[in-house]
Amino acid sequence: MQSNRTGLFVYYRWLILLLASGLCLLPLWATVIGGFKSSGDLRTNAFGLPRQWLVDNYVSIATGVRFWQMLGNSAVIAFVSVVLTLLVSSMAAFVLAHLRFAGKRWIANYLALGLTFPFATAVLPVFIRVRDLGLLDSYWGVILPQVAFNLGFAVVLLQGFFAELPHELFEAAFVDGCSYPRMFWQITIPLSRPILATVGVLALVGSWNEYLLPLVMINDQALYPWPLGIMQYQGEYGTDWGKVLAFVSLTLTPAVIFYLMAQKHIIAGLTSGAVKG
Amino acid sequence: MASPLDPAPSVVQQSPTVTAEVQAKELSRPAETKGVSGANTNSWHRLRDFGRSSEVKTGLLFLPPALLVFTLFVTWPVVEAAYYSFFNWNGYGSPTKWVGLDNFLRVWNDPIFHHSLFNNLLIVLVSACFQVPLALSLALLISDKSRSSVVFRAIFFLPYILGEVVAGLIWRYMYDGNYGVVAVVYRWFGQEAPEVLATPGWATAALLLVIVWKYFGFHMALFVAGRQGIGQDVLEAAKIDGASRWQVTANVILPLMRPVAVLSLFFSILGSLQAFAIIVALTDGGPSNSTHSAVSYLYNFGIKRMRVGFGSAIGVTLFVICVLVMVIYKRLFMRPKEGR
Repeated sequence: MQSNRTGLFVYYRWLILLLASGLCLLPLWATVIGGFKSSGDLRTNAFGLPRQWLVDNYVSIATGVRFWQMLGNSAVIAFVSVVLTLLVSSMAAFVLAHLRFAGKRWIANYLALGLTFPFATAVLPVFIRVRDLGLLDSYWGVILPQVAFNLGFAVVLLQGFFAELPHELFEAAFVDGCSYPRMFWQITIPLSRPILATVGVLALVGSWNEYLLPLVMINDQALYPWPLGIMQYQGEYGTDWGKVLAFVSLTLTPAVIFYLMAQKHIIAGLTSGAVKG
Repeated sequence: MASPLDPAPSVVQQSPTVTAEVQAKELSRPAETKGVSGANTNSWHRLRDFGRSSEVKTGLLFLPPALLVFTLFVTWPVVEAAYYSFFNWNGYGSPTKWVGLDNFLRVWNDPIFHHSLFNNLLIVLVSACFQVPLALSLALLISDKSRSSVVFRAIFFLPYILGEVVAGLIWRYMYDGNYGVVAVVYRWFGQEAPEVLATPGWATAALLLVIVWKYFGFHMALFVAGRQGIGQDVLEAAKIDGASRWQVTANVILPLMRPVAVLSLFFSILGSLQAFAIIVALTDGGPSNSTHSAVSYLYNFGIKRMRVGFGSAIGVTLFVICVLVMVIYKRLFMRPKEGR
């Protein structure tokens, strides 16, 4: 009886999971496969394999300058943004976790303010600030606000972790005449790799997919990161879906490859970061 | 290798990677380490008082970058938005045309703005009634460590890592009445597909479906983490008492998952208040402005037309809504323990 029930449970479990995965993956499948189809084929045969495999769409995009340029822009912005976020926030978190001074709590709460509202609420003044600094149409115009808005969650996460590191290490280092900056580089940072990875993943995924900020700050098409580039491409080709789908498929490839390589860490990073932040 | 309690200089001077690994292992037992450190805390603080000047220097070196960037691009702009919202200003020169509360009144009396907020509310409702239960039930099926569960988790989480723009465009194709998957399904039944995204009402429903598709995996991952955090002993105890699989789920696991559900809904609210790119890519707020969210309304009617005063009034309104919603939600649901 018991085993029979368990058998039934296993059966339904698989049924539900396979159905859900199918619904989850179907749009992606239709997209990738759609890039190989002609218009007529797309109209009548959205799910199936192409009747005739057309590689033109993919090849012309992958051999063009534009695609690589926008991925390059996104990569530069994301890289600098992640490095700066980690550097600036871990330095601040180190001071907040290890040094004692008046107003420390105050500063910690001040930085945590960044968690309470979305970037969009202040986007117009940020635009004017960036314009007045002469940073419109530059990577920095996107990077600096991005880093600033990352600081809220980054400092909260890092400070919590840093404060848990054993005092003895710092005491020992102090007795040996180690300076604070050196403690930071040689004790705190090496011991905090897991949390740095979490913050890094959150910042990276956020920056890579960011749309509103570059939309407001960047006009020059040569500087477009991929979310802007892809919308522009779609605007140009409209319902020439074969082209658009190929373009979409190619842009999501780097993210998917990265995800498949480090899937466990990425899921853990994005969820645990969210929970603690 | 030295134990972490050894005041060995090697920790600092030798290759940091090797020692770090050892220390990291020791760190995984925070309770024990802490117990010992408690006794030493005093001496550590006394010692540090000698280093006061070095401390000040470090603080002056390490804190300002964060404070400067944060003030310049986060807090000060919010203050500025509050100031600009009282002016009629196109962003050039300096704001001179004081209009009092005019901008706010126009935002608050705009039916499109009401509809946008209503859409935000719909997103939260659909999440609460549909997305969160779905994520929870799937999570309960795949929270074990079997290989199939790991694979399914990876599949369900995949849409979450895609850019919002990508998700929007993919579904714009799916819903296309001429080419898309929806069209094909309709033709199977010998009918012409409606233009889903061109019909108000249908377009909103379509948007909600895309949001569920893209974000349920994230909620599922939260629940999986929560489920894995439940101790084996509790479940064993229930089993020994003769509870069936269903009883264990309903009476032990679900009550213990309540804090995760609260958190999960919190992220739905947060996400709804930020929804933007997915809407731009899918419907661009249309047809006839029926699918805007608060942020896409702000973009379309404030930023796009460089109406800085009006846009700032929207931003300030949104800011107040965000802070209020979060404070109230935290008060109502998150008070015990996790009220941080």
